[in-house]
Amino acid sequence: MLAVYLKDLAAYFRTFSGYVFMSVFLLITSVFYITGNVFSANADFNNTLGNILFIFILVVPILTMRLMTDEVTQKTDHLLFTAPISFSEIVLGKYFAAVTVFAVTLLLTCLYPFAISFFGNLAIWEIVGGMIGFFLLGCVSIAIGVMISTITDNLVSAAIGTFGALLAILFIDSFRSIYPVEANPNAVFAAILALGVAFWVYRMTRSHVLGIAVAAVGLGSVGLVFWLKPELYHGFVYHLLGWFSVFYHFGNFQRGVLALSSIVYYLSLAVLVLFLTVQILEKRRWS
Amino acid sequence: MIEVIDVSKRYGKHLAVDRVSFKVDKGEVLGFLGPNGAGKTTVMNIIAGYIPMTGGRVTVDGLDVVENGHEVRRKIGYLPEVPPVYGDMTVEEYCTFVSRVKHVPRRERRQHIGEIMEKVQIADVRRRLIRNLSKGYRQRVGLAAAMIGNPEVLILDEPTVGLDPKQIIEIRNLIKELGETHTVILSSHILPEVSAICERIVIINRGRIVASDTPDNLSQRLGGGNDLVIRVPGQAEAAVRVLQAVSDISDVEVMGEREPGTVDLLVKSERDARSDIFFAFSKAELPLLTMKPFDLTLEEIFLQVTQDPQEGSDDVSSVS
Repeated sequence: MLAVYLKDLAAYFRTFSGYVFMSVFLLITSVFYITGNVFSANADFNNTLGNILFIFILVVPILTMRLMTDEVTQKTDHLLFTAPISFSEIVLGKYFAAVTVFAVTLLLTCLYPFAISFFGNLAIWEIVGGMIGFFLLGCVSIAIGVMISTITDNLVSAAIGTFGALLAILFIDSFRSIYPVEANPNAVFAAILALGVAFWVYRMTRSHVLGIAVAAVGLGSVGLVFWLKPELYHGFVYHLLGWFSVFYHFGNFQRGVLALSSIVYYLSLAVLVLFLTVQILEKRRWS
Repeated sequence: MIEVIDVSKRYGKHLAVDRVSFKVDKGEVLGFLGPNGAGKTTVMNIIAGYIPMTGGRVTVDGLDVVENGHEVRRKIGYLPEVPPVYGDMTVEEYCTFVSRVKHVPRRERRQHIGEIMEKVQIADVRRRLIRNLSKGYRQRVGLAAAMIGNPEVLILDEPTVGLDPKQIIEIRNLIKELGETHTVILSSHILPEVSAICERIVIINRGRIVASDTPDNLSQRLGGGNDLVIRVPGQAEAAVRVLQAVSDISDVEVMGEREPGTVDLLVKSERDARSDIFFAFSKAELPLLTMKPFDLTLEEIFLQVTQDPQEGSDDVSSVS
């Protein structure tokens, strides 16, 4: 893992992507810092952090798009995949390289609240909490970027895919809060979900029988639950999408609360996404 | 050392490799030969564990490539068709990275890399970016990567492509030398290369093995024995008439005009009829410009066995 980590970390600074990431990140944060904290004479740095969550949509693709696609286009995946290292070592090495670049950049932004501290009272521990949350949020976004870089096979689709996925996750929050909580529309959503799963099963197995069977079982159970206990669907979409509402969980950190549940949520989400990435590679090798 | 048993690979509806089986003994240098698109690279990728097979089994040193992937990959050094090098690294950085990936102990790393760079003659460019190197140097950097970690098996996919003749000879000699201590599978579509280095040749075409033997046996089996090729001036009819007078000649085939104003004939006979033919022509006052044994060169064998079955002659199909 160390070999891949060191190689990819060095690659960020051999090519321009590490510098581009750092400058874009620092540019956006400094603009918001100057307008939100300096000009308005406001010491609440966590509020600034909360306002720039969209930054991940813009900068994470810069960081992750090359990670896997470059190996494929340069054909160096031949070397990595036939060397005596496992896929998890490859994925984790790359992931930690990206996280390191992000962490170093984030450490630079600590200068902003440090500068505020000369001119007023700073809620240091709240800001530390906010920074930790911001870092964890970045870790999850980078994991998603690594996964999409693995799925796609060229730079452009990896960048656009990561951008789109993070944008969708940002919008999940607004979507789930405007979606009706009544049973009927939620049951319809569950049915569409069941059909989606059935289609995915069909695509993976290429078996009409299995696809139709999964669709029948899925729709059947959705209908059965709706018939027996419709109140179970109350707020179904709201709770389901709550799981994917990555940005929503930042609220706790922004208030300076280091809630264990939020930390565990972010860490387990990152681990899950990386685990899926390794599985995607494994599947490609042995099927 | 390497056993490939009934390996098939299917890409959608296209069958790229069709039940290929062969064996490579320890210390053997096997040439894997075939036209472009025959399935050579696919088979090598499967042995190296880069892509999965659709059917069959590959073992290296008794270990299954699928089940014991990790241990098998330790034993194999693979040089793919395109050398897997990072353009933005220097040669030395790259070799260090590969040695880390291949778990070469830290203390031995420097010396090990140094030795290999000397061997493949890239030590003089060690501080240059791989991106700026010529194709020949890149190929050698790729070869160095395959050799790092001292794997028992080397799989080299077209190692001399893009090299100039001098480099080709150097690489060939290097592979010969490596063959003394390693088991090597080498693919190529260039025959002299394979016949110069390899102890055994497997010819593959359209995903199937069509011939497998030593280079000498292959040319002998397909070669003509007492058959001769002669070249005479003028038209074929006169020469054929002269040949008909010589005893024990079973068949005469007109091969066509290879040199302006002359004609080439393939003379098949049961015994050595060279002196009889010479005297017959001198009697007819028809000069013999060339007379040579009809030996199939490996090129011709290769063309014959890789032809479509309908076009191939009978004695060829007996080889497959």
